[in-house]
Formats: sequence, structure tokens, C-alpha cells
Amino acid sequence: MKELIKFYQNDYGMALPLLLSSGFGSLGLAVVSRFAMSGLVMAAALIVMTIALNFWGRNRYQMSLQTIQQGLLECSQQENEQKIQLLQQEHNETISRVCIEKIEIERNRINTLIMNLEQRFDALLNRFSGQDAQNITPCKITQSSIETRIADLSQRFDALIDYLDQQTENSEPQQLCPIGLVPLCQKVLPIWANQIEMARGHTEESVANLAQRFDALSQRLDAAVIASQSTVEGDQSHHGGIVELLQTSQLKLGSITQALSASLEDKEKLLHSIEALSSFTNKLSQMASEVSSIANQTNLLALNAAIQSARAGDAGHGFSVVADEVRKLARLSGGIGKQINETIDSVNEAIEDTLVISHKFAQQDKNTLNKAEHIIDSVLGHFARAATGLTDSAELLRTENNAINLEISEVFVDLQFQDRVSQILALVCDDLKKLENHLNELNEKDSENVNHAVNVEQWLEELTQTYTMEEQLAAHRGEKTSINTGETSITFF
Amino acid sequence: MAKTILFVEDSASVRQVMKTALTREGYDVILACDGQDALTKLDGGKIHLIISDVNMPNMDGLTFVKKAKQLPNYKFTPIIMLTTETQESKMNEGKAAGVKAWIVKPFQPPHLLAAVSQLIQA
Repeated sequence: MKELIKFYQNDYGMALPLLLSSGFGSLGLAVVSRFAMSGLVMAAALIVMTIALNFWGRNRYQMSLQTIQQGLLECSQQENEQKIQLLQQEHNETISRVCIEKIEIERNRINTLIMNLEQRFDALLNRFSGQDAQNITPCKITQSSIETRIADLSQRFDALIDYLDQQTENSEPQQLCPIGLVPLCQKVLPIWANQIEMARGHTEESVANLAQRFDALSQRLDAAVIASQSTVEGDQSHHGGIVELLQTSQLKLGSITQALSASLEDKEKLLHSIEALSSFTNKLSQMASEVSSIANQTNLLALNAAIQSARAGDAGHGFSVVADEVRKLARLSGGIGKQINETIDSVNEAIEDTLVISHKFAQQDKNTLNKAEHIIDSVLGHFARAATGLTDSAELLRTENNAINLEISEVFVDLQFQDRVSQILALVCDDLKKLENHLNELNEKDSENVNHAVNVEQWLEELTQTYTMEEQLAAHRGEKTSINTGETSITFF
Repeated sequence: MAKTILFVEDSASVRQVMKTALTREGYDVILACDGQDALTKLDGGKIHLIISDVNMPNMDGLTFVKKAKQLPNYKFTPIIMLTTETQESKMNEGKAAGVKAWIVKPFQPPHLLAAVSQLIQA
């Protein structure tokens, strides 16, 4: 504030010459008007005075400006110093706070690292937990300071290193990776892979051939069963089979025996007819005798008539002619009756001969028919037994075929395991190739002196990812598995 | 008229087994040894059903199924996957691709034939 007043004071001082010059001007005008002086002289005097005053005022102004600048400079310097002090204070506080936080974070991190280190140390100690290693105490979770824990850990590490050195000195030198193992693996792994691949290929080919042969066997068996069935039962409409043949034979042979029986019956009928004919001949013979008797009586009657006509004289002459004619007819009838009798006798003889022969033939036919029926029955019996045997064989064949087909179906299930085995071996081959490639990479990195540690867990995890079957996972975990072959797992979407 | 089935399988023995089983049932069978081979077989006559393995060289079964389903003639053809694969994720992938049934090897031929008969008549 003082500076501002000073500034205004200086400003006022700068305006003073102007006021003075104005006063001098007014004074000059009054003097000129009073003392009648030359105006030019007065004006010159006033100009000189004005210029002088102007110079004086400028100097004063510059002086006051310098004073103001100085004042301002001092003022701003003072303020700046105060601000700088404040800023420095804040800065220091912030840095302290951040540092404390950072230190805390770092402390926690170091704590975690030390804890991990201690755990790993314990794990390492467990791997070498021999009798001699018992003097190395395992780490314990403590609240002691980091420096103390690091110091303890360093001591334990030193003890472990000493122990391991001692063990190494005492025992025979052991190499985690014996010399020559890597090149050996590089050489032998592809050979193993090739051998497995070759074995896989052979198995595949053999099993395919086996399946083909089973198929051929099954087809041939089917064909045999069909042939057997068609032999026994005929075709689909049961035509042409042995059963039909037997039935047809039975029918045809039956019809022959029936025909023979019918013929025999006809012959017997004929015999009866002939016998009946024989009885007719007796009647004919009787009738012929009666004819002869009538002829004799007629002859006697004609003779009596002739006698009577002779007695009658001429009147009976005509009657005697008739009587003679009647006697002729009677003799003729008697002769014919005799001839008939003779003929009938001949016929009777012939009929009797025929009857004897017919009886003989009828008996022979009967015997032949009986024999034929016996033979036919015997042959048909043989056929029937053969047909029954064939039918039984066909049925047995069909049953066996069904059983074999079932067995073949089971064999087909077993044959599918070749596919599973093939996939498992293919994965083993792939992993062997991967190991081979890894060893080749290691070999290259060896020359470049690069760290080539194998991440076993990652390797095993990647191997697990390639599995497609449950038993692969089980085998990976070292478990025993049993594979279900009975039920097919089908999921419909 | 006999129905035609395309059977895609890299294992020669399983191909033989299935050909026998399907032929005995009266189906006409076309064989392919991997997905790529199967795609060329789709150019031929009408195929009523496809049976495919999953893990195969050159082109796997699921890729083949996706490509087959893009063909207009085979958009609605029923597909059965026949595989040793039991992972749920693979089955879901198959389902999304349009597969109708998932059969795990080893399988009983009559069970497969029943599934084939069911899907081919649907």
C-alpha cells in the first residue's frame, strides 16, 4: 500500500512542473500587461522556463518509475519466496508420503517373495530330507523383520548348499541328463515313432482284412443256410423243397396204389360178373333142356297129329302135312337145343377156366398190391426220416447261423477297438515327435547358451488337451479303466 | 429302392465293419476316408443319410458336416457322428452344426442300425 501511495506521490510530482509552468505563464501575462514589456522577450523567457521545468519533471518521473519498479521487484520477490517455500514444503510432504507408500508396497512384495522363497526352500529341503539334512531347520512363518528373515534364509541356503556339496562329494557323480542322452533321444525317438506308426498301420490293415474275412464267412454261412433251407423247404413259396418232394411222392405213389386197388376191385367185379355169367349159363342150359323137352313133346304131339290125320283119311291129308312140318320143326328145335346145350357147356368150361385164371391173377394182383404198398410205405418212410433229418439239420444250421451272426456282431465290436488303439498310438507318436523337435531346439539353444528348462507341467497339460477318450485321461492319471462294450452310447439331438 | 448312406471314416477296419452291417440291412453304401474325400462324394447321386467320424486327417468330421450343410441338396440330410470323442464341447459343436445323433465307439452294430433306420425314415 505504501508503495502505491508513493507511486501516486511520484505521479503527482510529475504533474507539478506542468502546474508551475502554467503559473509562470499566467504570471508572465500579468507582468506583460502591467509593465508593458516586450511580449517576445517574455514568451522566450517563459519557453525557457517551461523547457527547464519539463526536463526537471521528466527526471522526477523517471526517478519515481525506477522507485516503483524497484518496489514491485522487491514485492514480487518476497511473494515468490513465500510461494516457493510453500511449494517446497508441499513437495517434501508428497514425496514423503509416496515414498512411505512405495516402501510399504515394496515391503509387502519382498515379504511375499521371501515367503515364496521360504516355501520353495522347504520344498527343496523335503526333496533332500535325509538324515544328514535334518540339522537344516525348515522355515517358519514369523513376524520378524525382513532383514532377519533374509539373513535366516541365507543361512539356511548356505547350510543346504553345504549339505548338497557334501552329498555330491560323498556320492558318485550323478547327472540329471547323462552325456549322450539327448543325441540318443534325438535318434531313437523318430525310430520309436516310426515303429509305432508301422505297427499301427499293420494292425489297421490286418484288422480290416479280418473284418473282411468275417464278412465273407458270414455271407457264406448265410448262403449255406439259404441253400439248406431251400433244399428242405423250397423257395419262398415253399416250392421245390424236399418236403414238397416227399408230399408229391406220397401223393403220386398213393394214386398208383389207389389205381392198383381200383383195378383189383374192377377185376373182382369182373370175376363176380363172370361168376354171375356162369349162373346165367346154367339157366341157359336149363332153358336149352326145356327147349329140347318142348321139341320132344312137340314131336310127340306132331306124331299123334299125324296118326289122327291118317285116321281121318283124305280129310286129314292136309293136317298130316302140317303135322309133318311140325315134327320137322320139333326135330330142328331139339337139334338146336342140343347145340345150345353143347355151346353152353363149352362156354361153361371157358368161364370156369377164366374164373380159375382170374382168381389166380386176382390173388397175384392182391399180393403185388400189398407188396407195392409195403415197398412204397417203406420208401416213403425212408424219405420222411431223411426229410426230418434234413429239416432238423437246416433248423440246427439256422440256429447256429444266428448264434454265429451274434458272435460276429460281438467280434465287430471288438474290432472297433483297433480304431481306439490306433488313435491312442497316433497321439503317442505325435508326442514323441514333439519331444524330438523339443530336443532339436534344445540342441540349437545349447550352442547359443540359452536357458532351456522344460516346463513339465505345461507339457503334461498340453498332452492332456489332445486326449479324446476317458481311458486316455485315466491312463494319464495312472488309474485303471474298464471299457463298457455292452451298451452303445447314443445321444439324439 | 434302396436308400444310400455315405460313411466317412479314416479307419479301414471300421469302414469294413460298417459297410458289412449296412449292406446286410439292404442299404447302398458309399465310403470315404476323410472329410475332403467325402465332399467329393457328395457331388454324385442322392445320399439319404451321412455317418461320419470326428477325428480324421486332412479334414475333420465337424468341418465336413458344416461344409455339407452349406450345400443346398444336403441342408436337411440327417447326419450321425460316430466317434471316440466324448467331450461335451465337441458334442455341442456338432449339435450346432446340425448333427442329429452322436454315437460313441465302440458301438453295437444293431444299435447303430436302429438309429439309422429311425433317422432315415424320419
